[in-house]
Amino acid sequence: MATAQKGMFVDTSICTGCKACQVACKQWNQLPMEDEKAVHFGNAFLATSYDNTGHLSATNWRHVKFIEQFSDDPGRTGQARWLMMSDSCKHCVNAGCLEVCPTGALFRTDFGAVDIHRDVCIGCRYCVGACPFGVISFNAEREQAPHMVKGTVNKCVLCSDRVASGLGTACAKACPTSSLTFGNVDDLKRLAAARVSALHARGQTDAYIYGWNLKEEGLDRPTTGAQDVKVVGGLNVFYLLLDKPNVYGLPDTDPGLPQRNFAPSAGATLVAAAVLGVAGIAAFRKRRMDAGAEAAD
Amino acid sequence: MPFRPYLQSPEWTWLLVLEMSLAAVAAGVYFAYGSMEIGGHREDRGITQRLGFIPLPIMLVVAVFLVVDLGQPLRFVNLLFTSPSAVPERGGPFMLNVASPLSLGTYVILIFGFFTLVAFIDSLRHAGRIRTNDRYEGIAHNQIFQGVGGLFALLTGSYSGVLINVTQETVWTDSILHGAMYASMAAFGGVGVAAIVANRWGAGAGTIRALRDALLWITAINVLLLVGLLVNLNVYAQPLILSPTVGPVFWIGVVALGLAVPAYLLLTGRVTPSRVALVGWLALVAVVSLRYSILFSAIAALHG
Repeated sequence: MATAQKGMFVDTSICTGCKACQVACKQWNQLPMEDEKAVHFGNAFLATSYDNTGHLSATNWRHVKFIEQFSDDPGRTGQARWLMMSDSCKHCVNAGCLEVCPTGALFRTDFGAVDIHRDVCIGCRYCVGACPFGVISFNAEREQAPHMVKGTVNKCVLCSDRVASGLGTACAKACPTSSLTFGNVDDLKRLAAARVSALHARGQTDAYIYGWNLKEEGLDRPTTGAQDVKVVGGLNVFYLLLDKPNVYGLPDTDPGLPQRNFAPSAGATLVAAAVLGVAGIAAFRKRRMDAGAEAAD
Repeated sequence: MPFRPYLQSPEWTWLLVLEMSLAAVAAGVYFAYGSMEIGGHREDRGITQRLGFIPLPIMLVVAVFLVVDLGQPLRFVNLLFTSPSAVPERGGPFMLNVASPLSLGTYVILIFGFFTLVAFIDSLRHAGRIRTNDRYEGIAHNQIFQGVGGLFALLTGSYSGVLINVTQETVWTDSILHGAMYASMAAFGGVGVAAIVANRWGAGAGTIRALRDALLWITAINVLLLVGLLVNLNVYAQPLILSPTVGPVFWIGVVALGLAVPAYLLLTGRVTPSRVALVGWLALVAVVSLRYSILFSAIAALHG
């Protein structure tokens, strides 16, 4: 019997930005603070916002984004809104990082998460460029720690050790508002559909799901207002958002797998190689022919 | 304006530019060697015998650089053999992921390495340093063998272009012509090296003319591919052509020194060995400049 796919539903509409999830992730996975170089160059902490790290990294597998929106209208100064989003690896159904890994270091667990064999990773960093969400980070600085091997890549692994023991993820366990919910992906989709419907009923029609199209999944959700965005075959960690994806630092449209370019790129290269081969040989063959023609004359 | 600011850079550095450029030169030299062996006059053989010495040592250096550039250099064998710790369902002793250009490219480089070894040994034999039997001579000069070697040379030259295209990074992912452009520029660099060698060893006028023709035709292909690449990139060409860190290298190194000046030198004036050799040096500048500007344009795109 196939194991149920596990994931998380991130409801940004009830996130308070408390960062308990960030702390729980750091604590459970024994992740150190940002490396000294980043601290030295002022890249470790923003200090310009309640958003402290600004991005995911090899030592920050979870990051609460604070999106601060202020009105440009002088008559409405003081009117602002904060959008908060607890971000991490999305454990894509079609994961570009996993597809391009040349060593099998990235793999899918029985629960559907994308995990890393840190003792197999060679540190080529190809997966970093293949991730459409900028999740995977290279650990260039840190010496070996429980979940840190210098010269390899790092990211959220959906607490695979906890999940294998029947526990949920540390971040979801710590979330005080149930903005993060861990469970079977199919159950979470139903929960998300109910939540979107409830928000739309209350007039919050800009609420939608990023990661799955709930209608396509056969679930009931309002057909008016903001519509769901399905990306890379679906996300096992998916989001309820209240503004456009790019506002949250996410691709607006489905980026697809990087392999979408492989066949056309290889094809164009082979055509170019054939043309070059003919041109190269012809340039030298011409001389032989010219010599032959001169001899005949 | 930054493009796709949510992405992260793989933090590939100058060492990769060097690796890619050296591999391109080795690939291009083998391409020139193969083209001259298959299509050339017997007078060209003096040059091809010298060219045969070049690709193998360069590829050995490239291999060392590739390994050193890894975050975990000692684990490079995981590229070729399945690690006991890797995913069980991969199976088999050899690590091959056909969906990954990096994995496939590793084998392409290995196979190309074999062809460079054959060419190297053949050049040693012609130089009187070693003896081989007639059967070896037959294989080394077999035109089908050399044609296949030339194909693997161009695949090696284009490999990093296809590799960067199979990512999500701005500029890299936005045109399918990177591989073709890399292959063409590699061929340009290789024939350029042949022109330099021909000048150095006093090749005949016929050989020089043939090299000039080859350089001219490849320049024309380069121009077509570069225009195609920029059109294909569309708005995403901005980091490549306008970024203060990358734009000058692109315009000066690739467009001016790599295409415009060579085209002028090849189309005007007398065909002299030194003039053709100068185009050869400019071709090498173009190889490095193209790889630098494409590689770092993705990082420029992230930072705006």
